[in-house]
Amino acid sequence: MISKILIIGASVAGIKAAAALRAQGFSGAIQVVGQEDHLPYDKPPLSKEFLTSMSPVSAIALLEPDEYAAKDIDLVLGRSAQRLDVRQRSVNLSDGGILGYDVAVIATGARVDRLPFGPGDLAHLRTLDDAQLVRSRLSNSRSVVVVGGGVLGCELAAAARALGREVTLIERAGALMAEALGGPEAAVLAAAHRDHGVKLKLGTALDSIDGTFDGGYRLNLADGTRMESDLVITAVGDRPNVEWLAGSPLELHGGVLTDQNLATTTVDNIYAIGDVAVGRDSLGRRTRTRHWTAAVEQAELIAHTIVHGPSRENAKRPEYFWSDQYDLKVQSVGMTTAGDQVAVIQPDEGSPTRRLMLHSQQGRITAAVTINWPKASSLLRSAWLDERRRVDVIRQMELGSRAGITA
Amino acid sequence: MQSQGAKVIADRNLCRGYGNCVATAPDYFDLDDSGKVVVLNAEFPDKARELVERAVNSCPANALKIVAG
Repeated sequence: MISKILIIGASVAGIKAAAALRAQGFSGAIQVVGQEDHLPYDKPPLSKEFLTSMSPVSAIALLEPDEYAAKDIDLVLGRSAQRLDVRQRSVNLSDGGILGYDVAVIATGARVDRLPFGPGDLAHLRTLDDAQLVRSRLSNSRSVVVVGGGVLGCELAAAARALGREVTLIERAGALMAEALGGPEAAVLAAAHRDHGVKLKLGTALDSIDGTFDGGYRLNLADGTRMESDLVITAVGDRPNVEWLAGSPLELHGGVLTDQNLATTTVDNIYAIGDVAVGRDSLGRRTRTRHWTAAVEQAELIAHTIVHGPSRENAKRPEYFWSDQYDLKVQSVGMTTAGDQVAVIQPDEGSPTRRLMLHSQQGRITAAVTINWPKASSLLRSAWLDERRRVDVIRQMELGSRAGITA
Repeated sequence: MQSQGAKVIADRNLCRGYGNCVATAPDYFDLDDSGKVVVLNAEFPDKARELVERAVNSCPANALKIVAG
């Protein structure tokens, strides 16, 4: 009999898990511990409309304030977990408190990585506090340098341009979003950023950053470029919040190791979901998925497992993420890798920016990335795990397209 | 049996075409060619309530809502 579930981390994954447990009929106690003082909030808007539209914090709440009482979810905010004791089934908190559990859900997420050099006041974006600081510093800056051309860096550059700032985006790799996409999508993205006036410095490492007397920064790039900027925002990755689990029997492997499908850990009655969890992706690689949809799916999954028992059916979903930059909507189903074979399909109708990029390895389709084509993304995602349906969907798209351009 | 006349409604202005509802509950949601959500069946039986709720919760844009009938 499970009478109490303790969720460690008031992250997207943590709060969605609490809500899903209630929706699926769990009637015992649910307690959620969160490090930040804010009511739990959603993350994707932080790098997009939260920066550009001055939307209030209430607009990005994960649950309305009164829903916590209505759903009987006990929030313990402003305290972080310090230690997990699986024998006592308890978690020690930063204020000295100890919370017990029958089932523990680890959803402590990740925190921002920083550059190993440069002044300590460089901006970054991970939390709501970060986003509020970035928002206020953007309003006082004419020029902005974004360091890192991954998903977050690209979205930050787009947001800063939308606010009319002069933007330079520096990425050490030769392509944008190379880790997330790795194909010809990068050229489409680069063209969009350039068209919107972003200065791109790709394939160039940043050698140093120094603060200047007027509160700005001076940057030196490996190719000899020197530039000055009022604001520098770094977007160079994150790392999982697992230090508090040191000494516990949980297996840590760049995050909390979970069963690839069921979000169960190596310890009974402990689950790990969201950015802190490591599972196997569809290419068999151990990864943290780090995407909103994965966090929400894992939350639903463990709620189902806890309330009704495991269901492998529910666990099978293709990977999916999106990114919105300017008027580009990028949607990716499956897992891409650098070096994929990519066929580009452009429909005859619809927006001229529409594309489907079909990734494959040794003749096996591994991912479908669309630009400005949600319908195609959705059709492929629904058919993804059924080879025959997937082939049918692709054939239909090819019929209405200039297809077969292989990059 | 219907879920006390409850209905699922979509705000197409909020919809951003992420498609999570279609992936979760394809019998109830689809996207049209412009990438906006279309509710295929606004009313749902009790046994589908959990599924429809899951679709509503999976929307990153908060464009879906279940309302009493």
